[in-house]
Amino acid sequence: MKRPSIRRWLIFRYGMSIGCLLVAAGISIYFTVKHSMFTALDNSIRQTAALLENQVELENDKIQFEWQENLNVNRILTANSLFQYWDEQTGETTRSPAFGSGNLPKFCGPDFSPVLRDIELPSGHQGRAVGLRIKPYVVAAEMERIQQAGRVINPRRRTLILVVAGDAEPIRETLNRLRWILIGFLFLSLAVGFFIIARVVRLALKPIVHLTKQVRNRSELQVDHALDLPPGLPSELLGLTESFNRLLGRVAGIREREANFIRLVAHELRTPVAGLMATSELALSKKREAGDYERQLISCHQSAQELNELIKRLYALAKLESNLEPYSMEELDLVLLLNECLRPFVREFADSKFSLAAPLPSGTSLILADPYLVRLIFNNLLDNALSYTRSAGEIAITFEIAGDVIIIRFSNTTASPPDQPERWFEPLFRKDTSRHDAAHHLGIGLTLSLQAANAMGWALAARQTAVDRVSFEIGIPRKFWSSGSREQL
Amino acid sequence: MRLLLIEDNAALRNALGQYLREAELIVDFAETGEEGLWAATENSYDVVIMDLMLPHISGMEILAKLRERKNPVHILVVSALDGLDDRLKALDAGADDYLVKPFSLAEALARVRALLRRRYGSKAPFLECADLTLEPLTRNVQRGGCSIDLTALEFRLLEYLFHRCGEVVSRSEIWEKVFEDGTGGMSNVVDVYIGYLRKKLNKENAAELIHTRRGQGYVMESRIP
Repeated sequence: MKRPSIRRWLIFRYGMSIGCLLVAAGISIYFTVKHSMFTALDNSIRQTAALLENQVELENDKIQFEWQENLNVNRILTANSLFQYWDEQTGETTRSPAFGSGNLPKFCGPDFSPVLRDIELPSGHQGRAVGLRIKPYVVAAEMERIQQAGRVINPRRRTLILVVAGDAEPIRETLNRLRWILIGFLFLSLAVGFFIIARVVRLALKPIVHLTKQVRNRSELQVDHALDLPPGLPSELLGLTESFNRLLGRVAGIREREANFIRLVAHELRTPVAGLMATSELALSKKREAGDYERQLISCHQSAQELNELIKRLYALAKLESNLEPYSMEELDLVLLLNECLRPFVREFADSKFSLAAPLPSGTSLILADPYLVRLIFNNLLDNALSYTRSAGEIAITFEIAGDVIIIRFSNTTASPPDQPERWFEPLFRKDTSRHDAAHHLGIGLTLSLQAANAMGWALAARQTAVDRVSFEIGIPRKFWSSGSREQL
Repeated sequence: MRLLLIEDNAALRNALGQYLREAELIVDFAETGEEGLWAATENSYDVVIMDLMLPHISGMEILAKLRERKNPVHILVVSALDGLDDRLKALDAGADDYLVKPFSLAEALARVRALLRRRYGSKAPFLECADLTLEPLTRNVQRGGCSIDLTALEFRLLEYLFHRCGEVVSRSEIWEKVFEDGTGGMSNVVDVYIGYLRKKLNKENAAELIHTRRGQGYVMESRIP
């Protein structure tokens, strides 16, 4: 399927619009010219008719036409004009000298009003004609003579029909020429218009082409680099490009975090490997006492355990991130599970002189969850509290219902917590850049907890609630509660 | 030669430290950046070996602070960060050498020895003064073609005097650089060991190489009569 094209769309639409405008303009020009030419013709024949109407006299009971008196004005008047009179009393007809033997159509308006019609001239040409009933002019002396003779002649009854015609052929020829000129002009304008539109559209789309080139010419190393914003970039594209650059910025951030993660993982793995290698090399460097070998083997074993723990955690993280292992949601008692997880820590908290406040609800509180993942979250948060609570500090675990969510809050006092709580969940994030800011911590526990919570559809967030207090909140939505849980909690 | 090893990984710290000690070098340890910076500032070391990602104060900060204080100690960075950027940053910040973890202890020792040679302006892998030669790698000492058997401490003392050949070395300097507990109070043990060394070197009426400068210390040089 052919993809829609902005260029084609613009050219076609602009072309069509200009074409329609040109056609409309051409038609209106054509009809305006036609109308004005026919109006001029009509006016001309009307004027001729008016002149000829005044040149009919009644003299000695006969109709006399002044234009036949060979006056110069009359000659000009009659030379090219086509007209014909019909005496309604006698039926005689009189034609203009320019006229041959044929007849014009005989017609007139009601009473003495003129009427205009399209006619066919005897020559076969199309023409326009005005027809009207006229009465002859009776001079004063003739009127007196008629009165003396005692005759009653009513000039109003002695009427004639006058039809004056004009040849419309020159107008038709002119209009025909005009039509072809307009059609030619229309096609020429369309061609030129399309060319200009195509150029303008191409120029208008140039920034898009430029940006496309920029994107296409990116090497793999520059994939997340922001696009250049040339000074002349149109405002429509500026917004799009800025949004795209923001997106690239986020991609760059993710890549940087990934690179950092890989770098840190490499560091985490290399350090125990370095310990292993160094210890084994030392052991092999010369013959030693059995006690020396034992000490070195213990050291190697510890390094291997450290390495194994790290690999286990990284694997768990990878599994959670890629959903390799399906989790099973089953009904479990949340408070019972938390109590189970808390039990081994209570002694350690006491040994470290931390005060623990955990007013857990009594009875059962059933929820739907994966017991392995819930244990993982609880153990990591408790372990985190154990490692980072400041000397003689406090640890609190509370349950709360906020709307449709059960909130389990683990909070503890700590000395100078690191900034940006959202970063605490980043893999291998540590308050200190070193590997051992909290003894056995690998910096993956919180990441694992967040992944586990997300996998079950729970929420896990960290907050600094006071200068020396941090809080981790687990949010369990209502859909995971079993019936009766709310009452219990 | 006194070294400071700042490393937070116990296994690596212990193994590298013991290996260096077995190579007759005196090694002090620091587990955190804070301890390391304090030790490097308060004592005079020939070489500092340190990790970059250290607790409390990072290796980069230690480097910057030592160089800011014009501390001329030679620094060998040992780090798991193997990126070109990391290496360039550390070297530009004042490190003299960079070794990526995991590494061979033998290579680490060779690099330390190279830094020690650079520290004392020597390029040859063996040290020589008149007819006396010392090979740090094999720990072989010969005078006039005959091997001389020295204890670890006597070897360290002789190696230090070799490095400072032609210079007057005070008793306190010897105490600091050669003796394991050199950071503590000094006793007449330096004079005692100088005596032992002289006895072993000057067999068969060979010319004296270690001379006493009254009130100043000792100087190792061959004097043409």
